[in-house]
Amino acid sequence: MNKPSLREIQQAFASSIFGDGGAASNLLETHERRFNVYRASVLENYRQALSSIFPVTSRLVGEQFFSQAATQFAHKNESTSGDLNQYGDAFPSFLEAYRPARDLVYLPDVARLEWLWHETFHATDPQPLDLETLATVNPADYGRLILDLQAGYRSLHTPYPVDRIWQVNQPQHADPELVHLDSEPRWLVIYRFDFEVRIASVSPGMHSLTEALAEKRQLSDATDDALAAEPELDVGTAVQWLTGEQIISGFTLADASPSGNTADNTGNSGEKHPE
Amino acid sequence: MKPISQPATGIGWRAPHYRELLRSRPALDFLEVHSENFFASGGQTLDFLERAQRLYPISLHGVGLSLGSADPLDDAHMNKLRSLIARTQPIFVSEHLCWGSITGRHLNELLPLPYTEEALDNICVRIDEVQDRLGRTILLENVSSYVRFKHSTIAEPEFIAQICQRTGCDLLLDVNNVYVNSVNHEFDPVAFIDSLPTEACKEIHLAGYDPHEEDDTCLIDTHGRHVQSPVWDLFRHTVKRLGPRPTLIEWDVAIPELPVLLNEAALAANILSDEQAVAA
Repeated sequence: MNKPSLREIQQAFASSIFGDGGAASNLLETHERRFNVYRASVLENYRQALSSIFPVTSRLVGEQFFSQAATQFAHKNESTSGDLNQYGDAFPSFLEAYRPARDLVYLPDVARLEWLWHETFHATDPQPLDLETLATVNPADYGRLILDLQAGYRSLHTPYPVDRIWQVNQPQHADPELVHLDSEPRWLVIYRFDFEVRIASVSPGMHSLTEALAEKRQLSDATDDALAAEPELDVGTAVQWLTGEQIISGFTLADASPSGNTADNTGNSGEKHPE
Repeated sequence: MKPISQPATGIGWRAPHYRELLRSRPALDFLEVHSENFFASGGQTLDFLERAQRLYPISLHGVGLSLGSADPLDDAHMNKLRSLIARTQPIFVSEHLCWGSITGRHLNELLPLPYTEEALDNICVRIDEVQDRLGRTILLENVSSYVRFKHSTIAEPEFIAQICQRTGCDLLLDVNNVYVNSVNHEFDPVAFIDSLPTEACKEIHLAGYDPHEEDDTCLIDTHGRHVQSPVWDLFRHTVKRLGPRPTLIEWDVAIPELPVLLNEAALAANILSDEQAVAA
Protein backbone atom coordinates (compact mmCIF):
# COMPACT_ATOMS: atom_id res chain seq x y z
CA MET A 1 0.00 0.00 0.00
CA ASN A 2 1.56 3.29 -1.09
CA LYS A 3 0.91 6.10 1.39
CA PRO A 4 -2.54 4.98 2.52
CA SER A 5 -4.99 7.54 3.86
CA LEU A 6 -5.88 7.72 7.55
CA ARG A 7 -9.26 6.18 6.73
CA GLU A 8 -7.63 3.30 4.84
CA ILE A 9 -5.24 2.64 7.71
CA GLN A 10 -8.04 2.64 10.26
CA GLN A 11 -10.28 0.43 8.13
CA ALA A 12 -7.49 -2.09 7.57
CA PHE A 13 -6.67 -2.09 11.29
CA ALA A 14 -10.32 -2.63 12.26
CA SER A 15 -10.94 -5.44 9.80
CA SER A 16 -7.76 -7.17 10.92
CA ILE A 17 -8.99 -7.16 14.50
CA PHE A 18 -11.81 -9.46 13.40
CA GLY A 19 -10.04 -11.13 10.47
CA ASP A 20 -6.67 -12.71 9.82
CA GLY A 21 -4.52 -9.66 10.43
CA GLY A 22 -3.06 -9.61 6.92
CA ALA A 23 -4.29 -6.13 6.08
CA ALA A 24 -2.84 -4.48 9.17
CA SER A 25 0.52 -6.26 8.98
CA ASN A 26 1.27 -4.33 5.76
CA LEU A 27 0.89 -1.13 7.74
CA LEU A 28 2.88 -2.02 10.82
CA GLU A 29 6.58 -2.30 11.42
CA THR A 30 6.05 -4.24 14.63
CA HIS A 31 5.62 -8.00 15.04
CA GLU A 32 2.18 -9.57 14.54
CA ARG A 33 2.37 -10.61 18.23
CA ARG A 34 2.04 -6.93 19.15
CA PHE A 35 -1.07 -6.51 17.01
CA ASN A 36 -2.59 -9.51 18.77
CA VAL A 37 -2.57 -7.50 22.01
CA TYR A 38 -5.28 -5.32 20.44
CA ARG A 39 -7.15 -8.28 19.04
CA ALA A 40 -7.36 -9.78 22.52
CA SER A 41 -8.22 -6.55 24.30
CA VAL A 42 -10.99 -5.52 21.90
CA LEU A 43 -12.71 -8.88 22.28
CA GLU A 44 -12.11 -8.84 26.03
CA ASN A 45 -13.79 -5.43 26.29
CA TYR A 46 -16.87 -6.70 24.45
CA ARG A 47 -16.95 -9.85 26.55
CA GLN A 48 -16.73 -7.88 29.77
CA ALA A 49 -19.44 -5.48 28.67
CA LEU A 50 -21.77 -8.40 27.89
CA SER A 51 -20.97 -10.27 31.06
CA SER A 52 -21.73 -7.21 33.19
CA ILE A 53 -25.09 -6.69 31.46
CA PHE A 54 -25.98 -10.42 31.39
CA PRO A 55 -24.62 -11.82 34.69
CA VAL A 56 -27.42 -14.38 35.18
CA THR A 57 -27.14 -15.67 31.62
CA SER A 58 -23.41 -16.01 32.20
CA ARG A 59 -23.94 -17.80 35.49
CA LEU A 60 -26.43 -20.24 33.94
CA VAL A 61 -24.07 -21.38 31.19
CA GLY A 62 -20.75 -20.90 32.96
CA GLU A 63 -17.98 -18.44 32.24
CA GLN A 64 -16.28 -20.41 29.48
CA PHE A 65 -19.45 -21.10 27.51
CA PHE A 66 -20.49 -17.47 27.90
CA SER A 67 -17.10 -16.28 26.75
CA GLN A 68 -17.33 -18.31 23.56
CA ALA A 69 -20.86 -17.11 22.85
CA ALA A 70 -19.80 -13.50 23.48
CA THR A 71 -16.84 -13.83 21.11
CA GLN A 72 -19.06 -15.27 18.35
CA PHE A 73 -21.58 -12.52 18.97
CA ALA A 74 -18.90 -9.82 18.76
CA HIS A 75 -17.73 -11.07 15.38
CA LYS A 76 -21.25 -10.79 13.98
CA ASN A 77 -22.55 -7.73 15.79
CA GLU A 78 -20.77 -4.41 15.49
CA SER A 79 -20.68 -2.07 18.42
CA THR A 80 -22.14 1.22 17.20
CA SER A 81 -21.38 3.43 20.19
CA GLY A 82 -18.35 4.62 22.10
CA ASP A 83 -20.34 3.74 25.20
CA LEU A 84 -20.21 -0.02 25.84
CA ASN A 85 -23.35 0.20 27.99
CA GLN A 86 -25.18 0.40 24.64
CA TYR A 87 -23.73 -2.91 23.44
CA GLY A 88 -25.70 -6.15 23.55
CA ASP A 89 -29.35 -5.45 22.71
CA ALA A 90 -29.15 -8.11 19.99
CA PHE A 91 -27.51 -10.69 22.29
CA PRO A 92 -30.81 -12.38 23.34
CA SER A 93 -31.83 -12.97 19.69
CA PHE A 94 -28.31 -14.18 18.96
CA LEU A 95 -28.68 -16.78 21.74
CA GLU A 96 -31.92 -17.97 20.18
CA ALA A 97 -30.04 -18.97 17.04
CA TYR A 98 -26.87 -20.11 18.84
CA ARG A 99 -26.77 -23.85 18.34
CA PRO A 100 -24.68 -24.80 21.40
CA ALA A 101 -27.41 -23.22 23.58
CA ARG A 102 -30.41 -24.70 21.76
CA ASP A 103 -31.35 -27.06 24.62
CA LEU A 104 -31.55 -24.15 27.04
CA VAL A 105 -34.90 -22.99 25.70
CA TYR A 106 -35.39 -20.41 28.43
CA LEU A 107 -31.96 -18.78 27.98
CA PRO A 108 -32.91 -16.12 25.36
CA ASP A 109 -35.76 -14.89 27.56
CA VAL A 110 -33.50 -14.75 30.62
CA ALA A 111 -31.16 -12.60 28.52
CA ARG A 112 -34.11 -10.48 27.33
CA LEU A 113 -35.09 -9.87 30.94
CA GLU A 114 -31.51 -8.85 31.79
CA TRP A 115 -31.33 -6.40 28.88
CA LEU A 116 -34.65 -4.82 29.95
CA TRP A 117 -33.37 -4.68 33.55
CA HIS A 118 -30.27 -2.87 32.27
CA GLU A 119 -32.38 -0.32 30.32
CA THR A 120 -34.67 0.25 33.27
CA PHE A 121 -31.76 0.65 35.70
CA HIS A 122 -30.39 3.55 33.64
CA ALA A 123 -33.73 5.13 32.71
CA THR A 124 -34.87 8.60 33.74
CA ASP A 125 -35.90 8.56 37.42
CA PRO A 126 -39.63 7.92 38.00
CA GLN A 127 -41.64 10.87 39.23
CA PRO A 128 -44.40 10.05 41.71
CA LEU A 129 -47.91 10.85 40.48
CA ASP A 130 -49.21 14.20 41.70
CA LEU A 131 -52.25 12.94 43.60
CA GLU A 132 -53.37 16.43 44.62
CA THR A 133 -53.77 17.53 41.04
CA LEU A 134 -55.39 14.23 40.16
CA ALA A 135 -57.94 14.88 42.90
CA THR A 136 -59.10 17.96 41.01
CA VAL A 137 -60.20 15.81 38.05
CA ASN A 138 -63.95 15.25 38.00
CA PRO A 139 -64.55 11.48 38.44
CA ALA A 140 -66.90 11.75 35.46
CA ASP A 141 -63.79 12.47 33.35
CA TYR A 142 -61.67 9.52 34.56
CA GLY A 143 -62.31 7.66 31.34
CA ARG A 144 -60.53 10.44 29.47
CA LEU A 145 -57.39 10.22 31.60
CA ILE A 146 -54.21 9.42 29.73
CA LEU A 147 -51.88 7.99 32.36
CA ASP A 148 -48.15 8.38 31.68
CA LEU A 149 -45.90 5.49 32.60
CA GLN A 150 -42.39 6.02 33.94
CA ALA A 151 -39.55 6.01 31.40
CA GLY A 152 -38.16 2.75 32.81
CA TYR A 153 -41.33 0.70 32.24
CA ARG A 154 -40.71 -2.41 30.12
CA SER A 155 -42.69 -5.62 29.64
CA LEU A 156 -41.93 -9.18 28.61
CA HIS A 157 -44.24 -12.04 27.71
CA THR A 158 -42.52 -15.37 28.16
CA PRO A 159 -43.50 -19.04 28.25
CA TYR A 160 -40.83 -19.64 30.94
CA PRO A 161 -40.57 -18.62 34.60
CA VAL A 162 -37.55 -16.43 33.85
CA ASP A 163 -38.35 -14.07 36.72
CA ARG A 164 -37.87 -16.97 39.14
CA ILE A 165 -34.74 -18.10 37.33
CA TRP A 166 -33.41 -14.55 37.56
CA GLN A 167 -34.25 -14.31 41.25
CA VAL A 168 -32.62 -17.54 42.39
CA ASN A 169 -29.47 -16.62 40.48
CA GLN A 170 -28.93 -13.31 42.23
CA PRO A 171 -25.70 -13.19 44.28
CA GLN A 172 -27.62 -12.50 47.50
CA HIS A 173 -29.97 -15.46 47.00
CA ALA A 174 -28.99 -17.91 49.71
CA ASP A 175 -29.94 -21.43 48.70
CA PRO A 176 -30.01 -23.15 45.37
CA GLU A 177 -33.57 -23.77 44.33
CA LEU A 178 -35.23 -25.84 41.67
CA VAL A 179 -37.33 -23.85 39.20
CA HIS A 180 -39.87 -25.92 37.28
CA LEU A 181 -40.06 -24.99 33.63
CA ASP A 182 -43.58 -26.34 33.20
CA SER A 183 -45.22 -23.51 35.12
CA GLU A 184 -47.59 -21.11 33.40
CA PRO A 185 -46.52 -18.59 30.78
CA ARG A 186 -46.23 -15.15 32.29
CA TRP A 187 -46.41 -11.46 31.70
CA LEU A 188 -43.61 -9.59 33.39
CA VAL A 189 -43.37 -5.88 34.00
CA ILE A 190 -39.98 -4.36 34.72
CA TYR A 191 -39.90 -0.92 36.31
CA ARG A 192 -38.11 1.33 38.76
CA PHE A 193 -39.17 2.08 42.32
CA ASP A 194 -36.88 4.97 43.18
CA PHE A 195 -33.48 3.53 42.19
CA GLU A 196 -34.48 -0.10 42.64
CA VAL A 197 -35.40 -2.17 39.57
CA ARG A 198 -38.46 -4.32 40.26
CA ILE A 199 -39.74 -7.25 38.26
CA ALA A 200 -43.38 -8.24 38.77
CA SER A 201 -45.32 -11.10 37.31
CA VAL A 202 -48.79 -9.71 36.53
CA SER A 203 -52.17 -11.06 35.47
CA PRO A 204 -53.24 -10.98 31.80
CA GLY A 205 -55.66 -8.12 32.54
CA MET A 206 -53.01 -6.05 34.30
CA HIS A 207 -50.66 -6.68 31.41
CA SER A 208 -53.27 -5.50 28.86
CA LEU A 209 -53.97 -2.45 30.98
CA THR A 210 -50.34 -1.34 31.26
CA GLU A 211 -49.63 -2.05 27.59
CA ALA A 212 -52.63 0.09 26.60
CA LEU A 213 -51.43 2.85 28.92
CA ALA A 214 -47.92 2.57 27.50
CA GLU A 215 -49.48 3.20 24.07
CA LYS A 216 -50.97 6.43 25.51
CA ARG A 217 -54.54 5.21 25.15
CA GLN A 218 -57.11 6.79 27.41
CA LEU A 219 -58.22 4.99 30.55
CA SER A 220 -61.64 3.97 29.21
CA ASP A 221 -60.06 2.20 26.25
CA ALA A 222 -57.32 0.68 28.40
CA THR A 223 -60.04 -0.57 30.76
CA ASP A 224 -61.89 -2.18 27.85
CA ASP A 225 -58.71 -4.01 26.84
CA ALA A 226 -57.99 -5.13 30.39
CA LEU A 227 -61.49 -6.48 30.98
CA ALA A 228 -61.51 -8.24 27.64
CA ALA A 229 -58.36 -10.07 28.73
CA GLU A 230 -59.54 -10.67 32.29
CA PRO A 231 -63.24 -9.94 33.00
CA GLU A 232 -62.84 -10.23 36.79
CA LEU A 233 -60.02 -7.64 37.01
CA ASP A 234 -60.66 -4.81 39.47
CA VAL A 235 -59.32 -1.92 37.38
CA GLY A 236 -59.52 0.56 40.27
CA THR A 237 -57.24 -1.59 42.41
CA ALA A 238 -54.97 -2.19 39.44
CA VAL A 239 -54.53 1.55 38.85
CA GLN A 240 -53.87 2.03 42.56
CA TRP A 241 -51.14 -0.58 42.46
CA LEU A 242 -49.56 0.98 39.37
CA THR A 243 -49.58 4.35 41.13
CA GLY A 244 -48.17 3.01 44.40
CA GLU A 245 -45.36 1.29 42.51
CA GLN A 246 -44.50 4.59 40.75
CA ILE A 247 -45.27 3.00 37.37
CA ILE A 248 -47.89 5.69 36.67
CA SER A 249 -46.00 8.95 36.89
CA GLY A 250 -48.33 11.59 35.45
CA PHE A 251 -51.50 12.20 33.53
CA THR A 252 -53.24 14.36 30.99
CA LEU A 253 -56.90 14.53 30.00
CA ALA A 254 -57.84 13.58 26.46
CA ASP A 255 -60.09 16.02 24.60
CA ALA A 256 -63.76 15.16 25.05
CA SER A 257 -64.09 14.74 21.31
CA PRO A 258 -67.28 13.24 19.88
CA SER A 259 -65.33 10.47 18.16
CA GLY A 260 -63.92 9.12 21.43
CA ASN A 261 -66.84 7.37 23.12
CA THR A 262 -65.95 8.68 26.54
CA ALA A 263 -69.14 10.57 27.32
CA ASP A 264 -70.90 7.47 28.60
CA ASN A 265 -68.05 6.35 30.83
CA THR A 266 -68.78 7.90 34.19
CA GLY A 267 -66.88 5.58 36.46
CA ASN A 268 -63.28 4.63 37.03
CA SER A 269 -63.63 0.91 37.31
CA GLY A 270 -65.51 -0.12 34.21
CA GLU A 271 -68.74 -1.14 35.92
CA LYS A 272 -70.54 -0.43 32.69
CA HIS A 273 -68.55 -2.91 30.76
CA PRO A 274 -70.72 -5.78 29.55
CA GLU A 275 -69.93 -9.07 31.19
CA MET B 1 -17.74 23.36 41.06
CA LYS B 2 -15.54 22.55 44.05
CA PRO B 3 -12.08 24.12 43.53
CA ILE B 4 -9.04 21.86 43.58
CA SER B 5 -6.26 22.38 46.08
CA GLN B 6 -2.55 22.10 45.21
CA PRO B 7 -0.69 19.78 45.19
CA ALA B 8 -3.61 17.50 44.49
CA THR B 9 -4.04 13.75 44.32
CA GLY B 10 -7.09 11.72 43.41
CA ILE B 11 -8.24 8.29 42.30
CA GLY B 12 -10.19 6.92 39.36
CA TRP B 13 -13.56 6.15 40.96
CA ARG B 14 -14.99 2.84 39.73
CA ALA B 15 -18.17 0.86 40.44
CA PRO B 16 -16.81 -1.41 43.24
CA HIS B 17 -16.09 1.71 45.33
CA TYR B 18 -19.13 3.89 44.56
CA ARG B 19 -20.92 3.15 47.83
CA GLU B 20 -17.91 2.79 50.06
CA LEU B 21 -16.34 6.08 49.06
CA LEU B 22 -19.59 7.99 49.63
CA ARG B 23 -19.84 6.37 53.05
CA SER B 24 -16.23 6.75 54.21
CA ARG B 25 -15.46 10.07 52.45
CA PRO B 26 -11.67 9.64 52.41
CA ALA B 27 -9.44 12.71 52.18
CA LEU B 28 -8.82 13.10 48.44
CA ASP B 29 -8.37 16.29 46.45
CA PHE B 30 -10.42 15.12 43.46
CA LEU B 31 -12.15 12.15 41.85
CA GLU B 32 -12.06 11.14 38.23
CA VAL B 33 -14.67 9.01 36.49
CA HIS B 34 -15.09 7.60 33.01
CA SER B 35 -17.63 9.91 31.39
CA GLU B 36 -19.40 7.09 29.52
CA ASN B 37 -20.23 5.30 32.78
CA PHE B 38 -22.57 8.20 33.56
CA PHE B 39 -24.25 8.71 30.19
CA ALA B 40 -27.55 7.29 31.49
CA SER B 41 -30.55 9.60 31.73
CA GLY B 42 -31.18 8.62 35.35
CA GLY B 43 -30.72 5.92 37.95
CA GLN B 44 -28.54 5.12 40.91
CA THR B 45 -25.15 5.43 39.20
CA LEU B 46 -25.82 9.01 38.21
CA ASP B 47 -27.10 9.73 41.70
CA PHE B 48 -23.81 8.43 43.15
CA LEU B 49 -21.91 10.89 40.97
CA GLU B 50 -24.15 13.79 41.94
CA ARG B 51 -23.59 12.96 45.60
CA ALA B 52 -19.82 12.68 45.07
CA GLN B 53 -19.83 16.02 43.32
CA ARG B 54 -20.95 17.70 46.56
CA LEU B 55 -17.91 16.19 48.34
CA TYR B 56 -15.09 16.36 45.79
CA PRO B 57 -14.05 18.21 42.65
CA ILE B 58 -14.89 15.88 39.74
CA SER B 59 -12.87 15.25 36.60
CA LEU B 60 -14.58 13.65 33.57
CA HIS B 61 -12.35 11.31 31.61
CA GLY B 62 -13.75 10.04 28.30
CA VAL B 63 -12.76 6.78 26.64
CA GLY B 64 -15.19 6.61 23.72
CA LEU B 65 -15.13 9.82 21.69
CA SER B 66 -12.66 8.41 19.13
CA LEU B 67 -11.05 11.80 18.59
CA GLY B 68 -8.49 10.60 16.05
CA SER B 69 -10.93 8.77 13.77
CA ALA B 70 -11.42 9.69 10.12
CA ASP B 71 -15.17 9.49 10.87
CA PRO B 72 -17.12 12.61 11.85
CA LEU B 73 -17.74 13.18 15.57
CA ASP B 74 -20.62 11.18 17.02
CA ASP B 75 -23.39 13.72 17.75
CA ALA B 76 -25.22 11.52 20.25
CA HIS B 77 -21.99 10.98 22.20
CA MET B 78 -21.20 14.69 22.17
CA ASN B 79 -24.68 15.58 23.40
CA LYS B 80 -24.48 13.15 26.28
CA LEU B 81 -21.07 14.48 27.24
CA ARG B 82 -22.38 18.02 27.12
CA SER B 83 -25.30 17.30 29.41
CA LEU B 84 -23.05 15.37 31.82
CA ILE B 85 -20.72 18.38 31.97
CA ALA B 86 -23.69 20.65 32.70
CA ARG B 87 -24.79 18.27 35.44
CA THR B 88 -21.44 17.72 37.16
CA GLN B 89 -19.49 20.97 36.60
CA PRO B 90 -16.17 19.10 36.28
CA ILE B 91 -12.77 20.68 36.93
CA PHE B 92 -11.34 18.79 33.91
CA VAL B 93 -12.77 17.18 30.81
CA SER B 94 -10.28 14.86 29.15
CA GLU B 95 -10.08 12.41 26.26
CA HIS B 96 -7.37 10.34 24.58
CA LEU B 97 -4.95 10.86 21.74
CA CYS B 98 -6.31 7.84 19.90
CA TRP B 99 -9.07 6.50 17.73
CA GLY B 100 -11.62 3.78 18.51
CA SER B 101 -14.08 3.66 15.64
CA ILE B 102 -14.15 3.75 11.86
CA THR B 103 -17.02 3.69 9.37
CA GLY B 104 -19.43 3.67 12.29
CA ARG B 105 -17.97 0.51 13.81
CA HIS B 106 -16.68 0.94 17.36
CA LEU B 107 -13.79 -1.17 18.63
CA ASN B 108 -14.17 0.41 22.08
CA GLU B 109 -10.42 0.46 22.62
CA LEU B 110 -7.79 3.21 22.76
CA LEU B 111 -6.06 2.55 19.44
CA PRO B 112 -2.85 4.34 18.43
CA LEU B 113 -2.71 6.76 15.51
CA PRO B 114 -0.22 6.78 12.68
CA TYR B 115 1.73 9.98 13.29
CA THR B 116 1.25 11.57 9.88
CA GLU B 117 0.44 15.12 8.76
CA GLU B 118 -3.03 13.92 7.75
CA ALA B 119 -3.73 12.36 11.16
CA LEU B 120 -2.44 15.53 12.85
CA ASP B 121 -4.66 17.84 10.76
CA ASN B 122 -7.61 15.51 11.30
CA ILE B 123 -7.38 15.36 15.09
CA CYS B 124 -6.75 19.11 15.38
CA VAL B 125 -9.93 19.91 13.41
CA ARG B 126 -11.90 17.57 15.59
CA ILE B 127 -10.47 18.88 18.88
CA ASP B 128 -11.34 22.40 17.72
CA GLU B 129 -14.89 21.21 17.07
CA VAL B 130 -15.15 19.48 20.46
CA GLN B 131 -13.84 22.52 22.31
CA ASP B 132 -16.25 24.78 20.39
CA ARG B 133 -19.22 22.57 21.09
CA LEU B 134 -18.37 22.08 24.76
CA GLY B 135 -17.38 25.71 25.22
CA ARG B 136 -14.24 24.73 27.14
CA THR B 137 -10.68 23.52 26.80
CA ILE B 138 -10.17 19.76 26.99
CA LEU B 139 -7.17 17.77 28.17
CA LEU B 140 -5.69 15.20 25.82
CA GLU B 141 -4.02 12.07 27.21
CA ASN B 142 -1.12 10.25 25.56
CA VAL B 143 -1.96 6.53 25.22
CA SER B 144 0.11 3.39 25.56
CA SER B 145 0.74 1.46 22.36
CA TYR B 146 2.05 -1.89 21.20
CA VAL B 147 2.49 -1.29 17.48
CA ARG B 148 4.19 1.29 15.23
CA PHE B 149 2.90 2.34 11.84
CA LYS B 150 5.29 2.26 8.87
CA HIS B 151 3.88 5.52 7.60
CA SER B 152 4.46 7.62 10.73
CA THR B 153 6.63 10.64 9.97
CA ILE B 154 6.33 12.68 13.18
CA ALA B 155 7.75 11.78 16.59
CA GLU B 156 5.07 11.44 19.28
CA PRO B 157 6.19 14.37 21.52
CA GLU B 158 6.24 16.61 18.46
CA PHE B 159 2.79 15.35 17.43
CA ILE B 160 1.47 16.17 20.92
CA ALA B 161 3.15 19.59 21.01
CA GLN B 162 1.67 20.45 17.61
CA ILE B 163 -1.84 19.53 18.77
CA CYS B 164 -1.55 21.61 21.94
CA GLN B 165 -0.17 24.55 20.00
CA ARG B 166 -2.73 24.46 17.20
CA THR B 167 -5.87 23.77 19.24
CA GLY B 168 -4.99 25.30 22.60
CA CYS B 169 -5.96 22.01 24.29
CA ASP B 170 -4.12 20.93 27.43
CA LEU B 171 -2.21 17.76 28.14
CA LEU B 172 -3.04 14.95 30.52
CA LEU B 173 0.34 13.29 30.87
CA ASP B 174 0.09 9.58 31.62
CA VAL B 175 3.53 8.79 33.00
CA ASN B 176 2.84 5.06 33.01
CA ASN B 177 1.96 5.19 29.30
CA VAL B 178 5.22 7.01 28.53
CA TYR B 179 7.17 4.35 30.40
CA VAL B 180 5.28 1.45 28.79
CA ASN B 181 5.85 2.93 25.33
CA SER B 182 9.53 3.59 26.05
CA VAL B 183 9.98 -0.15 26.60
CA ASN B 184 7.69 -1.21 23.74
CA HIS B 185 9.25 1.19 21.24
CA GLU B 186 12.76 1.52 22.72
CA PHE B 187 13.13 5.21 23.45
CA ASP B 188 14.33 7.25 26.42
CA PRO B 189 11.30 8.15 28.58
CA VAL B 190 13.10 11.03 30.30
CA ALA B 191 13.94 12.67 26.97
CA PHE B 192 10.31 12.13 25.93
CA ILE B 193 8.99 13.90 29.03
CA ASP B 194 11.53 16.69 28.61
CA SER B 195 10.39 17.41 25.08
CA LEU B 196 6.70 17.87 25.99
CA PRO B 197 5.14 21.34 26.27
CA THR B 198 5.52 22.12 29.99
CA GLU B 199 2.79 24.75 30.29
CA ALA B 200 0.10 22.62 28.64
CA CYS B 201 0.36 19.79 31.16
CA LYS B 202 -2.53 20.16 33.61
CA GLU B 203 -2.86 16.65 35.05
CA ILE B 204 -0.82 13.48 35.53
CA HIS B 205 -1.99 9.86 35.47
CA LEU B 206 -0.27 6.93 37.19
CA ALA B 207 -1.17 3.25 36.92
CA GLY B 208 0.30 -0.24 36.94
CA TYR B 209 1.50 -2.26 33.94
CA ASP B 210 2.12 -5.97 33.45
CA PRO B 211 4.70 -7.78 31.33
CA HIS B 212 3.46 -9.41 28.11
CA GLU B 213 3.31 -13.15 28.81
CA GLU B 214 5.04 -14.22 25.59
CA ASP B 215 7.09 -11.17 24.66
CA ASP B 216 9.71 -9.84 27.05
CA THR B 217 10.18 -6.70 24.95
CA CYS B 218 6.59 -5.67 25.61
CA LEU B 219 4.71 -4.19 28.58
CA ILE B 220 0.91 -4.11 28.74
CA ASP B 221 -0.86 -1.12 30.22
CA THR B 222 -3.29 -3.16 32.31
CA HIS B 223 -4.20 -0.74 35.12
CA GLY B 224 -4.29 -3.95 37.09
CA ARG B 225 -1.70 -3.52 39.85
CA HIS B 226 0.44 -1.13 41.90
CA VAL B 227 2.34 1.66 40.18
CA GLN B 228 5.70 0.06 39.37
CA SER B 229 8.98 1.53 40.59
CA PRO B 230 10.33 2.74 37.19
CA VAL B 231 7.09 4.71 36.85
CA TRP B 232 7.50 6.27 40.32
CA ASP B 233 11.01 7.31 39.27
CA LEU B 234 9.75 8.82 36.05
CA PHE B 235 6.96 10.55 37.97
CA ARG B 236 9.51 12.12 40.30
CA HIS B 237 11.45 13.39 37.34
CA THR B 238 8.25 14.71 35.74
CA VAL B 239 7.28 16.63 38.86
CA LYS B 240 10.80 18.09 39.09
CA ARG B 241 10.51 19.32 35.55
CA LEU B 242 6.88 20.49 35.47
CA GLY B 243 6.24 21.32 39.10
CA PRO B 244 3.41 19.63 40.97
CA ARG B 245 0.32 18.81 38.92
CA PRO B 246 -2.97 17.19 40.01
CA THR B 247 -2.10 13.49 39.98
CA LEU B 248 -4.46 10.56 39.65
CA ILE B 249 -4.15 6.85 40.43
CA GLU B 250 -5.97 4.58 37.95
CA TRP B 251 -6.80 0.96 38.69
CA ASP B 252 -9.35 -0.73 36.41
CA VAL B 253 -8.72 -4.47 36.45
CA ALA B 254 -8.68 -6.65 39.58
CA ILE B 255 -9.63 -3.54 41.52
CA PRO B 256 -8.37 -3.84 45.13
CA GLU B 257 -9.92 -2.57 48.35
CA LEU B 258 -10.30 1.18 48.54
CA PRO B 259 -7.49 1.67 51.15
CA VAL B 260 -4.99 0.21 48.66
CA LEU B 261 -5.90 2.92 46.16
CA LEU B 262 -5.78 5.59 48.84
CA ASN B 263 -2.32 4.43 49.81
CA GLU B 264 -1.12 4.75 46.20
CA ALA B 265 -2.55 8.28 46.13
CA ALA B 266 -0.72 9.04 49.40
CA LEU B 267 2.58 7.87 47.86
CA ALA B 268 2.00 10.23 44.94
CA ALA B 269 1.15 13.05 47.36
CA ASN B 270 4.46 12.49 49.20
CA ILE B 271 6.43 12.87 46.00
CA LEU B 272 4.47 15.97 45.01
CA SER B 273 5.12 17.68 48.35
CA ASP B 274 8.80 16.57 48.44
CA GLU B 275 9.36 18.21 45.09
CA GLN B 276 7.38 21.26 46.07
CA ALA B 277 9.52 21.64 49.21
CA VAL B 278 12.69 21.37 47.13
CA ALA B 279 11.41 23.99 44.71
CA ALA B 280 10.44 26.39 47.53
